[in-house]
Amino acid sequence: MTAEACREWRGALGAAAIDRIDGDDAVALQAHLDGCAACREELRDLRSVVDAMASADVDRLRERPEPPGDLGERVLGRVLRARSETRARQWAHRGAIAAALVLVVLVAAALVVFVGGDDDDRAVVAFTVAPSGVDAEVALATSASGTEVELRAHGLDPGAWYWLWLTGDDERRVAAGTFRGEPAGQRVVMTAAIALDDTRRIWVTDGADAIVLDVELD
Amino acid sequence: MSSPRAALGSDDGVRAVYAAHGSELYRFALRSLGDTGLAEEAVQETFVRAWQAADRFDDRLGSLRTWLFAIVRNVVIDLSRARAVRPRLHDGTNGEIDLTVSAPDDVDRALAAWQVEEALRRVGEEHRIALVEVHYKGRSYADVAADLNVPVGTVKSRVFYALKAVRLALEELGWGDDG
Repeated sequence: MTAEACREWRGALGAAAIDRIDGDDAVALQAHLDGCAACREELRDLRSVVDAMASADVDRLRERPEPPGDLGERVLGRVLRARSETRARQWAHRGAIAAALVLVVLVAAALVVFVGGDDDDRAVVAFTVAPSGVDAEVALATSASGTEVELRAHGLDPGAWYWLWLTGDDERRVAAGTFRGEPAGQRVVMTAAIALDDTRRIWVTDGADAIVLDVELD
Repeated sequence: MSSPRAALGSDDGVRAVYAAHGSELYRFALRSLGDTGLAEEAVQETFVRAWQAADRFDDRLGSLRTWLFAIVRNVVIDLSRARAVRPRLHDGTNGEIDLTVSAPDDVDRALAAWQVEEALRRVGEEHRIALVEVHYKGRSYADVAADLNVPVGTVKSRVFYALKAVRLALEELGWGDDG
């Protein structure tokens, strides 16, 4: 805004902005502008408005079309429809995710069944002789020095010592190692110096050399 | 106004936003498209897109009004392109599609023109008449002063204040905003 002292130049500034000033009026305004930064800035602002105004069609000024009275309700109807469609898509999306998860679980279960989980290609054998309350099995694999035996057992006496044996075709028993009963059960890996193909029996004895677990291999 | 998601999330909110901005969105769409049916479609589509994109609205970047006009601008471009394509698909020509009538620049020019016309409507009648008669119709200050039976200085003063009022109205309408 021009300063109050420049009030008298406002008409001339408007005329200059729309390029309708000439003669003495133009000379006088220029002389004022040369010494008045505020009016120079005012004129720049007004000219930017006039530039923007070039696009207007003033014959349209008498028109002020109003939208149909029911357009607001139609807008609301469209938004409501979009909302319900979005919700339906979200539910469908969630259903697809749930179905995908079920599929993943089924595939994983199938892999466990067919591949054998972390047993890889080990043979798993449950003991056919075991005390009541004892659940035990061995996973067998060929190793460089004979047969690797992984014993998994629950229910053996906690703290008691046990011996794991393998017996071959020649009835020679080969020690795989010793282990101790644990309250939470144990999972121990031992190796016996006998080939897996030659192994006919796997058995466990206690400190009194009594047989606790026993299984014959086919 | 609360956030668009909250405002457009309820029936009353949609009605309130429409009451505040629906008419001017309609007038801009009609000014750009020249067809009442398409203008009504543009307003409805604008509100649907606004609801869908409400989470992306950031009031630090501009007002709800500016945001709605950015959306209606895109809607108008899409509708005018669709309209430009439709007749050409059935007119037996070689299938070339002329999109120049719906270029974003055309829509931006329409938006600029609509803003100025809307701003001029908001200027007081005496000032608007002075500006229109002198600037747009090219009449002399003296002629206009004689018609209005006022001194020439009064017409000059009205032109000056009309320009100031147009500027203010343009700013209220988002002139200079990115949207």
